[in-house]
Amino acid sequence: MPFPFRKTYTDAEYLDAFLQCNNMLIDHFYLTQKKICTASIIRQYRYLSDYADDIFHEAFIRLHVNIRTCKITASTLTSPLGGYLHGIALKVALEYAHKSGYAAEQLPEINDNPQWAISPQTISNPSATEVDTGFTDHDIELIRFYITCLSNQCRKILNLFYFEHSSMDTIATMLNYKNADTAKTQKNKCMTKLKIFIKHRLYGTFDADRKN
Amino acid sequence: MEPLMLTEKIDNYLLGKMPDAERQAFEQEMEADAALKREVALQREIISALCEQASIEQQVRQDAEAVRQRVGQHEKHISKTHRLTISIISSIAVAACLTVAFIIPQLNRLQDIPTPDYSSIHDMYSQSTIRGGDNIFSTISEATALMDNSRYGEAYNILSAATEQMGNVTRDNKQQYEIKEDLLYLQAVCAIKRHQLFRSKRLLRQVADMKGNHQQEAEQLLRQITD
Repeated sequence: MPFPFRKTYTDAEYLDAFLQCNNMLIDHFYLTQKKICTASIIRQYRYLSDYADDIFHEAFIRLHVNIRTCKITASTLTSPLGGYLHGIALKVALEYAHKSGYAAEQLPEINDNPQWAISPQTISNPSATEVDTGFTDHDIELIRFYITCLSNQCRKILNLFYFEHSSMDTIATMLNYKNADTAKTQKNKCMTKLKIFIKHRLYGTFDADRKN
Repeated sequence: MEPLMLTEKIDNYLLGKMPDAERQAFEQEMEADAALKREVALQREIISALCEQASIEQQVRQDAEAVRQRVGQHEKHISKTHRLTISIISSIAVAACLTVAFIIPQLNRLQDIPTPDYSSIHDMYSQSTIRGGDNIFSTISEATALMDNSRYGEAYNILSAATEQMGNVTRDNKQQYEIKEDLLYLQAVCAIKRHQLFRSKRLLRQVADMKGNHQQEAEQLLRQITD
């Protein structure tokens, strides 16, 4: 894997590399950030040192997804890309820590969807293009953005149901719900909540009390 | 209708899980109710975007695994190269230390060795020159004169050239053999005075091996250097 010797790249170059699938720069970013992140994880969560590589890898995947889904762009990033990755890594480490049940009372709450690194102007200017669904390009972009803001639990359940077509029994087992009905209720709650936020943004109203 | 129930109903409709009669009734309801129609369209769009993002995430996971493997290979390679580099540098350092530890005392010993006596050679060849000896005699005489003036470098060069000119000499030619031995001995003396450890040892070994007039002196000097 040829690495340029002693070359540093800007965040814009890295972002471009992720979008263009420039493996050389992606690998370079992975390698340089891995050392920093794993050291930080081990420093803060010593008992997770065996999982530091996996935690970093998961954080890298989440960052990559955020870039590919345009949640992160050069104009919306308000902190260095490495810093953003570092934040994700610590969040993933906290999830691992909670999962492993290590002294839960000592651990901070997981702040799902930290928005600190992304500026409010995430959506481009409204487009005049109408699509068949009645939604403009702007509306669709907004929908995509709010999906990325879903909590991890909601995203998992919705992905399992709509993308992987898993049954409710399977989802209940995988996500540790009491039974299939509980999983279904949770799925509906996630979808309803998402619709409420999107409708509020699109139409300026909360439709939560809509009765038919 | 309660929001959660509505979401579930729209899901059933969009995923084709609604019985035909119910589906037709629902579609008629949508035609009459613009808000319901909008709700269905929104849920459809959300599901589409969810699936798109899930597909992206699936692809990213595969790509990330490939990145992990490539970086892992690179780290192993770097580690191997790093270890190799360190071991080479360490070996060189150890060899250098041993060499220095071995050579410096011997160089110091060279300084301590008093100038070997070559006066007999000097006298013999000087007299032969006066009596009209050949070139080699005057060469050796000139060299010893330079050595008397501590010009060992120049003397060495002259002696070395003369030795080379003589070429291989055997014991059968006694005079030439003795002359060659003298030449080598004088070169060894010059090397000692110039603190040339390896050269002086090599020359003294040659003189000792010739088992001539200077054998004992050469062996004694060798012992002084190497002890």
